[in-house]
Amino acid sequence: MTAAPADALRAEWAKVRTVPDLGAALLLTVVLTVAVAAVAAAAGAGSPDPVHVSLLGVQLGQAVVAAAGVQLLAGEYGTGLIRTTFAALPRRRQVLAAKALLLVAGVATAAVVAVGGSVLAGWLLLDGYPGVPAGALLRAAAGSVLYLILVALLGLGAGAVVRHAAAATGLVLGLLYLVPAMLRFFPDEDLQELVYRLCPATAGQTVQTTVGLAAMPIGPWAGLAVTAGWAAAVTAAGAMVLCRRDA
Amino acid sequence: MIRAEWTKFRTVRGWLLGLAGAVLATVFLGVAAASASHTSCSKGPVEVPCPRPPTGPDGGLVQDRFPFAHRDLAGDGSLTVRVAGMTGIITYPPPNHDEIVSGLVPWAKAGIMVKDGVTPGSRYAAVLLTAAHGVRWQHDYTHDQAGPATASWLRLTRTGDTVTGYASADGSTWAEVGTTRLAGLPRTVQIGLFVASPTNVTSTANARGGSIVQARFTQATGVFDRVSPAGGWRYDEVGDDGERTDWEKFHQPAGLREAAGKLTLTGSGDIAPGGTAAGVTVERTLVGMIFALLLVIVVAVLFVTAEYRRGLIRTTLIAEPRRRRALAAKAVVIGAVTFAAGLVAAGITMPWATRLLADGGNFVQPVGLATGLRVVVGSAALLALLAVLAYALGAALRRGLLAVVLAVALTVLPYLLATASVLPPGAAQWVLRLTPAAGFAIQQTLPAYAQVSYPYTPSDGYFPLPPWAGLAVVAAWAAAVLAVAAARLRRGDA
Repeated sequence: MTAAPADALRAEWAKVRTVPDLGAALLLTVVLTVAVAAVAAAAGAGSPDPVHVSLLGVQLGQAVVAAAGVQLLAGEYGTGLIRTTFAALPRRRQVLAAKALLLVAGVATAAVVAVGGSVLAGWLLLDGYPGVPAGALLRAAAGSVLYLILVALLGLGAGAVVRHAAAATGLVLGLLYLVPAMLRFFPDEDLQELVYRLCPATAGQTVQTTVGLAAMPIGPWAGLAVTAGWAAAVTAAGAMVLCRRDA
Repeated sequence: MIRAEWTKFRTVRGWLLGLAGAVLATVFLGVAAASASHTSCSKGPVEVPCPRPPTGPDGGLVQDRFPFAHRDLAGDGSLTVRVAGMTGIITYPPPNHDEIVSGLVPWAKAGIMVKDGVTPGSRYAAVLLTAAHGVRWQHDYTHDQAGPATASWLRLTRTGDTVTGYASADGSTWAEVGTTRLAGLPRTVQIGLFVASPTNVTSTANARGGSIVQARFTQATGVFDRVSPAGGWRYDEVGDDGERTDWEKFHQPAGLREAAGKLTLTGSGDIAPGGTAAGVTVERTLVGMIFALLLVIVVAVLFVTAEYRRGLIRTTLIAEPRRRRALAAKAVVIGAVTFAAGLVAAGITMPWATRLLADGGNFVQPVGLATGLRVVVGSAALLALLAVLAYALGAALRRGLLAVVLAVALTVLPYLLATASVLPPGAAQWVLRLTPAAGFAIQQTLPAYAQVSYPYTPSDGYFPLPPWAGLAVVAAWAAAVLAVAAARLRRGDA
């Protein structure tokens, strides 16, 4: 008997619903993102780019959604549940797709609330973003939501490749935090710009910039496309590993 | 107990690999960055060795370029002047950067000085008037002491090796501003009048992280009268490199004018601690430590959460029923192992990469042996304390993933936000006071000086806390989280 895609989705939904992991992570994302945003906005009055400051919480929120993405699949390897899952649903790619779908839906909901709350907090604390065009504000907010979704997928894919939750999280967080932290130490300006364009964190977060966008090494949507490329590549690699290797 | 924990650690291949990876990442990144970095200077079409910035009596870099009207002073003697006025210009200051305005930068100086010759880096002591910081007593570049807020009369006396500065508002009642013994001062020194006008400096955030520091030319003119004893002045621009700005070429060159007992001295530059802009600091070679930190966090967390995962913790606690001791033994092992790894990593990287930087023609900021050792040993201690913190988070939460995320959010993230100019400088300084990222202060080799207008921001490598205080913040965090872990271990089931 072969399970239909809807069964995979229903099975994953049952897990997500009954295990508090994902829900707790998403709640944590909202709380941490808005909290950091509010603190940053309170401290960041007079910053040249107030929208960017009020979206700083995304820097922390991304760690939680990445970890949630990792945990969703790699966590099952930790407990051994993955063998039951694959016995019930032998089409492994379908399982991954169902997980990805639920993750996207969950993170999207949380990200909309988190980013909305951040923008609102910034609005209240920074006197309504004087001089920022509505289009730019909307782009930064919508882009941040998309960015968080992509980071979560990156985590899911990394979990499928590495299969060890803590190690996979370390890997993804390294990509998200270490490359930006190292950037200023690169001796060569051209190399700096190249790495900025290739790193999923720096390129993707460009979408949060509303002031001086022309001076950034990459455009906002092109930057988000880089992050999307990373998420797609890692998830595809995860799907391949999932199908080839023993669970 | 400690031996048992060490056996557990050393028999898990992944952890050893993680630790080896941490060492290799530090060495590789430091050495790769150093060997990719080249500096060259040219005179016309010819490549020449880059001129070395002057160093002061204590070996640190100094700024020593200013106009000096001086004469010989053999043996003891004194000089008294009245500073009749100070004016100046600042080229293209913010916010618009579009015109040359008249005005003085806060640390523009006019005063009198005893100096051991006019070679840059030679010893000196001076009493001086500043544009915005009152009368100051300064000597040997790094020392600065405040005097009265207003005064226009200045006096300097030399008795043997001792130089003393006085200030007065009216020329009759004098107050001592400062006194210094310049040991080994030769019999004949230069005594005279000087002005200085440091560059107008601003720092703006760089979109790619870090900050861009811009320095703009300024010039000050000091008018001195009632000079006693008068006469016999020679003029020198100390540390003159022959470069002239358009302002100096076409409007007002630096120099000395004497008329009717009045001396008017015009010029730029500063006599102050230097090295903020010149060259590379040794701690830059340790950039790979942040990679090492991430690997160490994962290993330290797994060192304890893996026991909960596998149920080994119950065996551990049967073998050592005093639970706090079991917790401490693991902490000692993970701390010692990461300290050793950090010591090897920093001990190899710093000397090697510094050598490579020097070979590439870069100027590496000179540091004393004590400072160098502090950076290497302190970096290892920082890695060890952060590992203990991550381990304690793992022990308190018992969930590997959550502990890794939290440890990264507490250490790597604040460091990134504060140093990559993502946060406004004020907020960045608070982040580096309160979070465990404060510990990176242990790597700072150049002190910040109040008497230099320079944006000492975290992105330039200047931390708000002194080195050991920064490390103490990390230790406090580690101790606090360990206490939470101990409480949970004692109260609950394992």
